[in-house]
Amino acid sequence: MTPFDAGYLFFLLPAAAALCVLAPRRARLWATAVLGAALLWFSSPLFALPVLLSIAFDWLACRAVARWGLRSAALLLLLSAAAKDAAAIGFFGVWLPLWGAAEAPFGVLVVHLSLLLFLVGVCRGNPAALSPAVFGAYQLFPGRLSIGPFLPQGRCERLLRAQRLRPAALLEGVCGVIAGAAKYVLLARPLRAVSDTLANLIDSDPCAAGAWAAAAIPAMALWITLSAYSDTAWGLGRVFGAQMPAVMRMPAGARGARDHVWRLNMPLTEQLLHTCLLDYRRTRDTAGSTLLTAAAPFFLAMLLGLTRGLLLWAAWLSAFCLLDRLLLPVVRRLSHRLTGLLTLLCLLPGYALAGGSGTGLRALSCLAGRGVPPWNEKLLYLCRSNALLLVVSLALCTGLPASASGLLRRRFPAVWRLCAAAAAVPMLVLTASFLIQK
Amino acid sequence: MTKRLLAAALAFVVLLALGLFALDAARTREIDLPPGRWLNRIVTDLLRRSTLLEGLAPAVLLFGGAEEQNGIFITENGLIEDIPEGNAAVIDANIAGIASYIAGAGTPASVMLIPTAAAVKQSELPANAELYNQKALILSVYSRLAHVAGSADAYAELFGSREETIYYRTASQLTGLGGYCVYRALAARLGLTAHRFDEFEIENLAVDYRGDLYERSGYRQVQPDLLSLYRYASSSRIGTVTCLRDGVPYLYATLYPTHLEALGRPGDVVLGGDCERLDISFSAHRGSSLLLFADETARAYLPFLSTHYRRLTVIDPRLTTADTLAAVDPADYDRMVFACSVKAFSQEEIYAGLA
Repeated sequence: MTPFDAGYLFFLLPAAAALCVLAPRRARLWATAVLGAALLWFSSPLFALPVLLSIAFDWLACRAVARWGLRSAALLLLLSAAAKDAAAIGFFGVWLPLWGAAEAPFGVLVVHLSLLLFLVGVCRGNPAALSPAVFGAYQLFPGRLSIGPFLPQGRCERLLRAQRLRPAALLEGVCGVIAGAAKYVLLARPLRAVSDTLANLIDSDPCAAGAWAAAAIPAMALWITLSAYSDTAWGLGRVFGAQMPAVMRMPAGARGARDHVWRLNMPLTEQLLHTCLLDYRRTRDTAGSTLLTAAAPFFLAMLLGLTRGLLLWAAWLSAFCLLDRLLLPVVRRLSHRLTGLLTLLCLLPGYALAGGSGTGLRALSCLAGRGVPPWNEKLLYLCRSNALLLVVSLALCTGLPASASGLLRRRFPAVWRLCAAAAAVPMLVLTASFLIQK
Repeated sequence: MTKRLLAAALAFVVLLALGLFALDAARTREIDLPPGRWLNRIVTDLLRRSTLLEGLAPAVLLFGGAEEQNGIFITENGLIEDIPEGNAAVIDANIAGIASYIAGAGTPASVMLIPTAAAVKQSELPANAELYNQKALILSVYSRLAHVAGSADAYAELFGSREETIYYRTASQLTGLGGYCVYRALAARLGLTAHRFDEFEIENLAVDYRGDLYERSGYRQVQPDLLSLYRYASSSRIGTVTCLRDGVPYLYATLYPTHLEALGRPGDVVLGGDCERLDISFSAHRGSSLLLFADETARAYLPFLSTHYRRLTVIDPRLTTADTLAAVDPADYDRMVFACSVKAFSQEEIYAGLA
């Protein structure tokens, strides 16, 4: 079960939100953790208990460090916890999808990556003392079990301690969750189906426009998927009274590969930098930060369910992140729009690889249009059949709707709430309608 | 007080979940599903009860340009099933099966492949739609079987009447009129003089018929079909239909057991529906006999074709068992016909078992 399933949206979430509203303030953190644990159990009952035990073990390790410092037994406990998390990430994130031919259970990777980053932070001197409720609520926060957000320890504690339920925030949160579900169910999922059809088309009847479409449509599908997760995380945060940060910003307007990667999962990149660099704000343009940013796509690919295609995609983005540092002086002289366009043109072919190396390489060879027709009838039919989907997705991927919504929210919050609520009802009905299709 | 409230809310949620689980398990006897899938199924089933929700997504997709959904074209005049490219191995196996059976039987035989609506009503389909070339397949199969069997050109007959209602709007089957077109093509091959269409009395059933495509597509703005029964007016022969289904023979004293409509099976009113072996016999002493190996498309043209024969036996090769097949002796019949839709012939090893 994922946050975009009917059972979650129409039963588990309302029940848990009601539980959270009814619960006294002190018990809200536990209520949040209970929903996260329930989501894990409904998704994969076999792994729910081990994940809970894993979180408990890491909390004990942190507690030991807080009490005795980084010495002997406490350090050993911390290192064994970190080794356990790293092993879980390696097993569920790499071995299982690549060689085990199975998907990682929902939420397991996010929880263990988050735990590992937390423990590394503790090793580097971050405070280790956290109440079990805050620790559990953060690790199991239902909105972040898909792709994050990953937050520094201090920030997550502040966010969760400031948990406050207000009707306006609840309304905003519900609208956010519905927007996320609608993006995923109405746009991202059909786009993935179009992308699969395109991959077959590139194999059977290649054409130049088809090759570009085979790069652009998976990109749009991925961005909208991440945007859907981001909206859901933010919305669930609001529902449970915490102000979670946005996870992604549409990468279409990115200036440079590193900016592109950062926009895909902002908290993940920042958390990697924050955890591994002592003062990442001062060292933002150093070789270390470039290397860490270049590593971020691999982590993201892992969270999305690693495949060989996603591995190639991550490698493509990573290579351009490294090049980015070399080209930055040249790129800075260009105008914003030209830089954005160049970035997109360079990185878009990488998305063609996400579907698999065979199709991806064929698409790459057709991008220049040599030896293949510019377009064909099948591509026209596919585009015509999905005209509305492609137009709406394209508009969303420009980032303009999000900017307009953000502007309206800042300037006229009451009007924004009214518009959001008015749009949420038809979106929910439409999402439900798409969810029940056989 | 608040703690009690919390405990009560928690207990309520848990009890509700357990109650739903128990109810559903009792209803379907499937309690081995993972809890997430089980919860999803319950909620989805509940939501599916709303006709608005069920029909909204296909309507929106159609508005967005998706005239083909789940392999079904949504046109102004109804739903048309798209069929995928034929499987060469399956086609070869079917041809081999027919050739082998004819060689062993020694009875004169004919072959007829009936095109689907996607081939006959191409003009109603969206431009650039990729369609399977059914005509090419039909011609190729006829030429490969020409040395053992004659062929009936149902394609030309149906294509000539493409402006008429020859396929149901909500089902992938031929209507009575479509069946008449096929009957004319088959009659020409079998050396029969086809009766005129106006020689048949038409009775319309007062039921809104919604076929398989309606169920599959989810699109609800299509008009339901009218079921029509055709009776040859110039004959007083009484037909008896024996339908063998799951080893049990069902006997009807008419070609149209209309009581099945009242039992909620309007689609089975014609010849009792799908069966592994169907025997139609008439009280007349004269006339020849016909052995037909056919799929469900036969139900459209059999009411017309049966007027020419004293005895017809229809074997559905997909449903029949080896015992039923062994009980049929082709030497007892004057003619044999192998007739099925292009979809069945190109996708399923429908005749491979005859080899």
